[in-house]
Amino acid sequence: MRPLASAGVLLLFLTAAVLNAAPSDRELVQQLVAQADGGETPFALAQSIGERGMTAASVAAEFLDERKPRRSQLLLEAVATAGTCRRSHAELLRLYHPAAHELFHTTNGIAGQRRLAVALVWQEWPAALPEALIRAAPLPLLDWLQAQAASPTPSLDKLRQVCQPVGNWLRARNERQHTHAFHQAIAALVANPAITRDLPVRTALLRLVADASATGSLDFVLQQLRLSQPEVRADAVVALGHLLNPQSHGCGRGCGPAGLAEWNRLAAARTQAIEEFVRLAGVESDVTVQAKLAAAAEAWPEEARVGQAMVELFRRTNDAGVRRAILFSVAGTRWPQRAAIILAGFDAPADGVLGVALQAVAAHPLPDLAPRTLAMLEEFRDAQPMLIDAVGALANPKATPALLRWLERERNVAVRLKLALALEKIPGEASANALAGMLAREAEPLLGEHLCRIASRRHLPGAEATLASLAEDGTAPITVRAQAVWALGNYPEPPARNCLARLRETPEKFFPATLGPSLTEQAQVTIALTSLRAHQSGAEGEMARWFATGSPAVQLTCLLSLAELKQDDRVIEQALHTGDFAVLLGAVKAAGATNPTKYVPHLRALREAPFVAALLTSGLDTWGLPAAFSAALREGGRQ
Amino acid sequence: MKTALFLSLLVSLAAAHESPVDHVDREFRLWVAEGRLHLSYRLQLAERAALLQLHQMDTDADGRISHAERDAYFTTQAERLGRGFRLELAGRALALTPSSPVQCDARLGQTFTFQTPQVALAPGRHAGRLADAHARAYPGPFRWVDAGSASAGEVRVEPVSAATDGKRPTWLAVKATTHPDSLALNFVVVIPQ
Repeated sequence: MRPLASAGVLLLFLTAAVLNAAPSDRELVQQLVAQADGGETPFALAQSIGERGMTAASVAAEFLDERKPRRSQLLLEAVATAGTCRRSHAELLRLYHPAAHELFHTTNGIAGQRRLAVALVWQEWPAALPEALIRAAPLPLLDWLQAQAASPTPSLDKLRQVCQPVGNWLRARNERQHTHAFHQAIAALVANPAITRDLPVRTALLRLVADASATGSLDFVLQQLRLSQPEVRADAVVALGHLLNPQSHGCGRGCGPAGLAEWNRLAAARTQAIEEFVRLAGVESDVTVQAKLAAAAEAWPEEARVGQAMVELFRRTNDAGVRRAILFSVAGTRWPQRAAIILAGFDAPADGVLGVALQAVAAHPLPDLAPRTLAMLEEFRDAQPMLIDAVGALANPKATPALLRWLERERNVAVRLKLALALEKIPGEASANALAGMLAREAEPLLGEHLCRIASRRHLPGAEATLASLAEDGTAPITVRAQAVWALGNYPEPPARNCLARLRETPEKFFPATLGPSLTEQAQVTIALTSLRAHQSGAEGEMARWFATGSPAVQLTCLLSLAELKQDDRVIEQALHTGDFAVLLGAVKAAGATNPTKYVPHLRALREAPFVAALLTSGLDTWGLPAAFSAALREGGRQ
Repeated sequence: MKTALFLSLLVSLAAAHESPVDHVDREFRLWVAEGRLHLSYRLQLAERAALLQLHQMDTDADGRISHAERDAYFTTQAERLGRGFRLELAGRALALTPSSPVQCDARLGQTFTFQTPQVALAPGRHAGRLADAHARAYPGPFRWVDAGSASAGEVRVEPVSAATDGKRPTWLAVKATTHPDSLALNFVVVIPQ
């Protein structure tokens, strides 16, 4: 045998392989320039240059040339692609992309941003320039916006071009550095009559105000509500709704100290704007503006005056679209006039109004609505999905016979599922027996899975035998079996307990290795968690072992199970120290559901930790983590 | 989200497009030098995961990552990843240990490098298999990156391209799922005569 170490040539081979990897940024940019100047449009090449990051973008900027529009357009597309990284946290850039960190987060970067923004002074802007500016050269862009705001002869066409890309960037909450500066620039722009006298620019600015949630420009928006042009009033109403709705600001009540301050500031702005909103709702005759008013009304979810204005608008308008918009808004509010508006919807059912009114009943199952809603059950021979949801929410046993009648005739799986979910909410023996019967008979996997979940949430007479049979049935779909196993934990009867014992004793018999390692592992985790639910001896240790060795997916499952069972466990504390998003999500939910008072100090510190706070306020998909924190802390503070 | 719902979702978790479990893209490069098998292992993180890694690194909670915090974190990570590999070459189990500091790149990539102890192999083709336990916790797509186009006369590492169905390379046919054995690369070290 010959040791590989003796092959000195190998090191050279490796070095060559690594060095030979890819063309330089400059070579790629030169290639793009040659192709573009030769009449080609190499989009993919521009994209791949941009994906290399800000160093490549800076090289691209060297080749920008006002006399070469095709080339400049492509180079700016590359700059825009690279500039997407500016939405990342400064420390992420410092660690992963030092060139971008220097460009965006140090004073050394200002000159680099200016080079990227060289096209700002060109006579004709390439179409990609605004996007490139907001992403990669925000400081020159801000300077330019302020210069326009101060100019008696602003560049109106260019302002129009800029508004939408800037608005898109801000609406997506990509801006981590200069939000306040952009709000100031917007406020300065709308204060310049040389800009706002141009109608297209004015409407573009109204949209920008909305997208940017630029509350500092509220007065400008309110002024536009009184203008004669309906298209301006419509945009102004939309902007008003965006500005005053906490959801637009990504934070509502209880979302940390900053969120609370924002909530209070918005509350003051809402109070300031309400007179104007109610006035306009009372006199507006344009249908488009009326519909916008109806949608914007959600910004005052607890304000009775707005509720009253919507009642009156509902009666005054003849347009079904406006009425539907009012009813959609009702679903998200607590106006005392909710029932009156919904009943008005019952009286004007045409063109889809009734359906939306029933959706509103499902959201607000108020006792006043029950008689009229239940009476409708006799009017329809066939199942009506929205009516099913509404009577389900009302949870009135008087609805059961009609729902059972529909269930007998209905074959559509989605509608049968709706019927089952409605019956679940209605108390009484009749609905429980009906659901148990469905569980025993339904062969459709989706329905079977949901019926197992229902049996898990609500004890159904005699369901334990069916669940045990499903759990052990190797021919049943695995998703149905998983739900059946979990549901067994809700049944203290011997058939369920005996089945669980068999599953615990020989899981491999019921979930054999032929299912694959992943599924058998998940099945065993499910059995362990069900044992915990059923208070079986040794189940806590079993769950803890799975948690200790499990993947984030398994850990999340354990934590959500504890949350559902409202059972505190030391793994929750452990999970609050995680660096995995899924586990953190599960831990916060479990802490809030099981013992929130105990976890308040930890949760508060965690929410305010710099990088968790950055995550919560980012535009990233956080699966409701900010709300989970708020709910847990609210609950902990209450107890 | 109800637990029961999640349990059934788990079944298809690995294939889910969006998931609270952060997926990780992986790139593997294998080569031989100085009598050792070397592995370059690049992980590309989602921004959400990268931010929470910063949370883990930031032990003094000052919102800035010092060199010491960074190095401590990545050293621990490299050791953890190394422990998660199971490497067999020519029928022998070999350990992979970190061999140089992690390299971060602009696409939220982290490249770790590992090496085996020196191994002696006779001329010929030697089958190898690398299983990655990290893929159990963090599923996601992966790819083999050729470390260089060595000529027929040089020592080289090749992915096993003969598939059981005759269509796809075996190492691609093994799908990344949530199980430790689910991500395994089959390769051959070729020692020329």
